[in-house]
Amino acid sequence: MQKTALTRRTLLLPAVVILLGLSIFPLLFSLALSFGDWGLGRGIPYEWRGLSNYAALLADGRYRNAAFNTVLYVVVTVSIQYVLGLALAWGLFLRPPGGRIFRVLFIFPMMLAPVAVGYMWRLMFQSRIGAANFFLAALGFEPVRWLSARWFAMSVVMMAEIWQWTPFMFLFLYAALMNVPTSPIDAALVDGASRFQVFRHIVLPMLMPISIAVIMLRAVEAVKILDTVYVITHGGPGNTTESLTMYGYNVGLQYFNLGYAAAIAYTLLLVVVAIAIPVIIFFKKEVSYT
Amino acid sequence: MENIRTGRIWPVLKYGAALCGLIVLALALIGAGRAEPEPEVVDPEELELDGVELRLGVETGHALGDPIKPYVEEWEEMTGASVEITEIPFAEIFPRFMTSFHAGTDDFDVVIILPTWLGDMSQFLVPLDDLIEGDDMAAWDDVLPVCQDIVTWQNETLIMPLDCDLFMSFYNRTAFLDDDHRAAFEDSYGYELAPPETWDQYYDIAEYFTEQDPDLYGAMESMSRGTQTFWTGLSRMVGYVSQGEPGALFFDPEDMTPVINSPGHVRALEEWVRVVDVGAPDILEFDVGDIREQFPLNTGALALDWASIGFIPTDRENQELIGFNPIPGPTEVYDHDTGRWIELDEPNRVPYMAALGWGAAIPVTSNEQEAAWQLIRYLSSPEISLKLVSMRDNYDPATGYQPFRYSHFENIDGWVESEWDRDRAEEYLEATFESLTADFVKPDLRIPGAFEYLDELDAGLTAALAGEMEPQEALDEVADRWDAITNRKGRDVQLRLYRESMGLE
Repeated sequence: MQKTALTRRTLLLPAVVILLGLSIFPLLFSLALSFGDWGLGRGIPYEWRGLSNYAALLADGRYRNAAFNTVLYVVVTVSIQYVLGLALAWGLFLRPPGGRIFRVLFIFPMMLAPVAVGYMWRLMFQSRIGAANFFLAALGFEPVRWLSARWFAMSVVMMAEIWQWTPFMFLFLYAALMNVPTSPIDAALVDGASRFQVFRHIVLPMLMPISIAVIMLRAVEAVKILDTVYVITHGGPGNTTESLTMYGYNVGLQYFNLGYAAAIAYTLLLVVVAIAIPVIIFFKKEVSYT
Repeated sequence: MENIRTGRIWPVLKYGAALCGLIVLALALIGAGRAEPEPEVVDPEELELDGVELRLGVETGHALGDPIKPYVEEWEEMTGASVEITEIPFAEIFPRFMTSFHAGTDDFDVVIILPTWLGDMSQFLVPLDDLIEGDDMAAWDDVLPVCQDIVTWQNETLIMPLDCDLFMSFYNRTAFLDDDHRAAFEDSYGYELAPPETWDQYYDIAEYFTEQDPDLYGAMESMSRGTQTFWTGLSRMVGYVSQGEPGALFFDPEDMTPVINSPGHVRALEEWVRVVDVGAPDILEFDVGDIREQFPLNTGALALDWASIGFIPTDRENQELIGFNPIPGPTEVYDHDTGRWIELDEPNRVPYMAALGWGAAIPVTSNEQEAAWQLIRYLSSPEISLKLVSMRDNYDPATGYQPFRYSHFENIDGWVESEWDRDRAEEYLEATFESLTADFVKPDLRIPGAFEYLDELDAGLTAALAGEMEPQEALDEVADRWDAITNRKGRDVQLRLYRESMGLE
């Protein structure tokens, strides 16, 4: 018996070592880094600075702006992605003609690299040669400075994100819809309920667990938004469209201020945990009801 | 068959091998005891570098990556070595190299970099002084003194120049020579249409063409975030705040207080913001690449850029189009000491060495430093560099390499051989040489953290240009952030290095 346990532990050891080396060590190392500074490669040893990096964040206007932008990106894009994803899923659930083709088409954007998506949207909204201003001009409107005015630039980034990640919502919600039991729906229809009433009072409540799960997953991903902002606006004009991840990237890998970058990353982690914990609690409750 | 170990041949092999080993050891000892040989000129064709593989990192695209490729290939054929070129976008090139340097990884044998980054990179690069000295192919004495100074950091030459940067203004000669435009402009503004000498004239001309000629945009300048806009900004600011005295552009050389938000800087930015309305309709999205592609297509009246725009059109036709002009200046300059504006008789046209000029360096981590030097000296040699700067084999719309050797300015025939019209070549070289040898040509920032300081400036400038912030507010914020960077990096160290880089120590 003892031999079996030892064998089991020995076999597990490589996986544990890899996990410690690739996951736990960087996590702890970056945590330590966030409380100090380290001149990587310059022969400057690690210097403990206590909470000074975190204190500096509170006074950093660029950080606050990036945090605000990130929250805005997450709230706006994830909500719209959910609504659109649900609408598409419900639309296909009703089995329209050509539904199979649409089902495949809808998930295409998700398969593209975010950088490619960024370039595509940047080109579409380029002021002079972009399609957006071309169509506005055709309709008699003045051209819009899509990429050089803060709110327009942010809206282009958001549109790109929504376009790319709505399919993610669609995919999960459609799969959930396909597994919704049909008897309550049939019963409601026999009782004279309209399709909207069936959706509102029967289908939507049944989709709640999966809805919360996909919203959480997307929110956690959206908090890390970098590629599209970097390609479409480069954070500009000024730093007005910069996200928290992009600021962290600039601080860490462009300015090589590693301690401060680690502190930014840890505040980001706190945000993600803050999103995740209530959802996990909710799920635990859901499980206990069922 | 007789076993080799038991046969008669074995003792011969055994003692022969031992003897060879002793000879090799003796030669190695003798070699180790000898003094370093004097550097000698080696013709690349005589070099035997078969099998040597070099890795070269350079900015991607028309301006820098593409133009060197024909000469790198030429060198590969001559020497038998091979060179793997890694092209990196501008916004990524500094972090890419620095990440490699910090990590101590052997990623590159040759890096093409800017001297403005020397404050951060110097400790990771091989000093080239011993290699340069007496090397006829490197021809150091042929390099203009100002272009030598910028590649030197704390008395060590760390970069071999391939370029010497300078911001210039450009005008559309065809439009400027048009009689109708000349008459109409004079009627409207009361003076003759000519290449602008002042920023006021620059604005008037841009305004005139924007309003009067639907086919020409008034001005083309880099104004978007992350595309080197800060160098356009500094080139405009320098004339408002400096008549040659060191330290007037970036920091007070006494205590490292930022002066970037001085009344002179703010006025320069305010006047620059006005240009948005008389520039190309999408000027706020412009980077230098857009200027270089669009200006030669006869779509703009004025442009600001490095002399890189001093190209000839890709088809070598219509070379009359592009006129070269030293950068304009204001007629007043702000005096930091007295806090007053000084009226001037002549416009204060201060040539600004934005970015200072690309050059090749060898990382200390390279295991092929000798071969790397052979490639660098070949590319920088008078013969090859002339081809680079005159776009001999370059049919792209720009080059990032500008003349930096006396021989580039003297050998007009070389430019004609590159299919330049003789007159255009003379005009271009005269304007460039005049600026590079001016009494107070202004160098760029060269202290640790230069990339970060300039990136913060980029943010402030682009915010003001886009109307997201007032110029004063934007530059005040830049000054605050510069102060924070200086404090973080150590004010005393930064002050000492700043003074050294400005030639004050």
